[in-house]
Amino acid sequence: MSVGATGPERKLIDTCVHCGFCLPACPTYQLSSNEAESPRGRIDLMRRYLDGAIGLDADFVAHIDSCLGCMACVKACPSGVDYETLIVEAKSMIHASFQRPSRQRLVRKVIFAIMPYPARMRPLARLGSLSKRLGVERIAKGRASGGVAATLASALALLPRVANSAVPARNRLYSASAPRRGVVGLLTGCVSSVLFGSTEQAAIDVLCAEGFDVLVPGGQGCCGALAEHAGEAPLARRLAGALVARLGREQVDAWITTSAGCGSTLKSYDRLLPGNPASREFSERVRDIHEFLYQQGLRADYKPLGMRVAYHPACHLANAQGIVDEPLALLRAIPGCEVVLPGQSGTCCGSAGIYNLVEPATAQVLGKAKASSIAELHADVVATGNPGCLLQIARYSDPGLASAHPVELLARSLRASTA
Amino acid sequence: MPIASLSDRIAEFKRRVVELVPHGECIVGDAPALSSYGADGLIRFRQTPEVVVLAKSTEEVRAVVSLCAELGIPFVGRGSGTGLSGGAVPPAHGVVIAASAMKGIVEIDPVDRIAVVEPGVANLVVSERSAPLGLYYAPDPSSQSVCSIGGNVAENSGGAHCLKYGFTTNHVLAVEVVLPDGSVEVLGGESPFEPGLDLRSSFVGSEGTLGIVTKVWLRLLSRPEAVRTLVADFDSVESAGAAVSAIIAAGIVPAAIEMMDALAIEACEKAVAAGYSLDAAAALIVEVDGSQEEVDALYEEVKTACITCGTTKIREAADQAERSRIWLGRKAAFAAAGRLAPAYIVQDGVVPRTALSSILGRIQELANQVGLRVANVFHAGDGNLHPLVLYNPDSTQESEAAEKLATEIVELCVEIGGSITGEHGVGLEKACSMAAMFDDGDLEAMQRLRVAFDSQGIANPGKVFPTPRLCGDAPGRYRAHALELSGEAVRF
Repeated sequence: MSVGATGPERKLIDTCVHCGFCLPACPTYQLSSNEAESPRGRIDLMRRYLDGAIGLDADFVAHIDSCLGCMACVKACPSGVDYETLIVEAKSMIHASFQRPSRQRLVRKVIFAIMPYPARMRPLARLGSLSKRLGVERIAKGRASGGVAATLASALALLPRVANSAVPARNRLYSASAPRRGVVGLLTGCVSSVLFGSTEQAAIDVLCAEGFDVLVPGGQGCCGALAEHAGEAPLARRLAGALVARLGREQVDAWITTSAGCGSTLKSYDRLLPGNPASREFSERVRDIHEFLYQQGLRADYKPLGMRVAYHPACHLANAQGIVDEPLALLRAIPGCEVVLPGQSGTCCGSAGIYNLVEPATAQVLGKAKASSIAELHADVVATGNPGCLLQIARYSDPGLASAHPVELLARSLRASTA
Repeated sequence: MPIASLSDRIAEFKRRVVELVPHGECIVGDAPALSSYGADGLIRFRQTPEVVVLAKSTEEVRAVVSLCAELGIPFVGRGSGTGLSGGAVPPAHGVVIAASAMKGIVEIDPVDRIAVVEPGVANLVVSERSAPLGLYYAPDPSSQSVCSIGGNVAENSGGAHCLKYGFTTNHVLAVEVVLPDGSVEVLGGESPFEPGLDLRSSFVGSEGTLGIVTKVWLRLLSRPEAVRTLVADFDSVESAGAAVSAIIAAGIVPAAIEMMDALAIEACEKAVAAGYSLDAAAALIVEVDGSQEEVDALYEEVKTACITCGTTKIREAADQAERSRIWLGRKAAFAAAGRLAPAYIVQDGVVPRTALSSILGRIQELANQVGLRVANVFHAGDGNLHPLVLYNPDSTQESEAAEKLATEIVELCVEIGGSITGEHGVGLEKACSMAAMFDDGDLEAMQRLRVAFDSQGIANPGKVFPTPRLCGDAPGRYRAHALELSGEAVRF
């Protein structure tokens, strides 16, 4: 099926029997207690819209916009409703048919003119981190009554004080450093490649140590996940099409991503580019790094790290891709590594793609709650498999709490073994 | 005072209600949100309310109900909206007073074993929060992770474990309620015996027709020392039914006995992969609890009864995780039926336990006559059956046939000495079937009680009692009932 302006499909809506089992799982319902801010309520809005009972007005849009897309409801649903497709279709319909107020339009335009393009994002991120050190953040915050200024303030608050931008060289095949088990490609993405070069490096180190050649093709763009989850379907299709065109002919056993949000879209390109055999074939080879390492089995020599790790299950890993136990198993494979989960561990941290930029109020409540439940664990480091979550949690946590992608901890443990 | 038109009164209500709810939220102009409160767990019935109030306190509920009383605007209380009889469908031109934002646990007293909770708290949350004290709240509707205690009180909800422990009414010591005239009362008390007429019992299960509950004193139980659970497969529904009778006849009161037929097993298995056998014609889930010694003895007796009645396979839950899995499957049954057909009607009838296998045969006959499929799950221990009538909503003919079949099934229950509802309530859906069970005198007696609480008829009107409009009586000039003429009852 194709995501477009036609709106949510009646057939998918009808699979919802209105039982309400999703209500306790939904962070926005838990905060608002409002039926229209729940998955069941949002599906009902779509149904009523198709029935012609309600219009596509600002209230309708607000209730759909407020959905984090965390997919906790999908796990809770006994009827197997494909909420992910429904919400993407509803958001795409809004994008195609609803005239947003000019301020919202501008905010989204700015976000999607920058974030998917590392060449534009990189200098701005450096500037942002610099200005943050100079205290500009406080000024922006003071003026942030809404619109672009508020988004800028949120964006600045999310940026690390020092941009972590040493990116591994592109267009290279990094050779396996153990008996060879295969060849994989590393998907570098957009935001991640600007802010999390260290995660990429760690992924390469671990994969090589596990016996895989790692191809890192240059010229990769954004996978389209951010745009798709925000309803910007035309842009998402364009980006996805370009990525498939760039990588489709590379001969690798699997495409590895370190970003949960990207993985969920990369694995379902059929939704964005229906009937395209190349994109389907590409999607079938995409693996999240936790999933891949767990399936292959760890063979390298991991040395003790002796630390307490708070693991935050990213929604797009646990809910959208069903990758729950794998990251825990990998972290527990590091000797001396104690892994703990925060209370309400299944609740979204509020990052949710561009959500913390366009819905900062809800994102802040969720971010603070997540940070405080993590703080209670008194961990040495918080680990999570999604760049957005790493930024969001770091923003609301004590600056003394380190954060890392789980693969970085694996890499650190490897280095300890060779030191 | 001149009587204002309905639309004027509604307009005035909308103007004044906002200031009465300083901490909660009033949904007045947001048409999509209002629309989303049009239906509860039974989506076939729908009526968009004029206003939704997300109250935060008894005081806010009181103020809003008082305004309803002053202006003669009907209202309905709503918990999580999971009811399956249309009980929380708003009355026409009415107001929804939702308890979803009142979800606090006020106090848990581990000595007297009482939990004082707000009405919006989810059933399961009470047990989760009491667990560290070794306590739990026994009634366990299948929707317990979602459904609210306030809704449970309104519907006198049951659940799989009510066979041994009783229904909501057996676990509610007292309720704080806002009556339809805006007064706040506490019915019942913390001691197990209260002198005088038992108004608490009248209120529990009154489906919102006597007022709105704003605080509940719940009885908590100690967690049993031991629990054992088995799933027994059978190659016919009859032999599973015989096993139920054999277990009860042996003098055992298990914590739960649930039965599922092949179609229900298929649906649950698709939804949660609970490990049920897809080739069984029927399966029983039997749970025994108590002290370790007692449980071990009872378990062996249950097993023997199943073997005597020809079970084809017995699987015992090895640990808590497996037990949870088994229950998760059973409790997902209704929504899981969505995987077998695009739409279904959940029916809720009661039959004498001994009639279980024979009624299944009759249901099958009725279903075959109209070419529809029916999946069956029951609380077999107390004869409460939940046939799920599967149909395709795109076909008007099939939809109508399904509704007709569902009604025939409950009326069949009454015919063989049972009841039209075991735990889902009458609501909108069954109001017309009340006449199949009660005669005019019974209904009048209930109506008199109701009017004593609600003289204006503004608390959830149109539910429970059959009305000519709802039940399609022959049209014609309205004739006042004798009770109305004598001034004892009012027509709503």
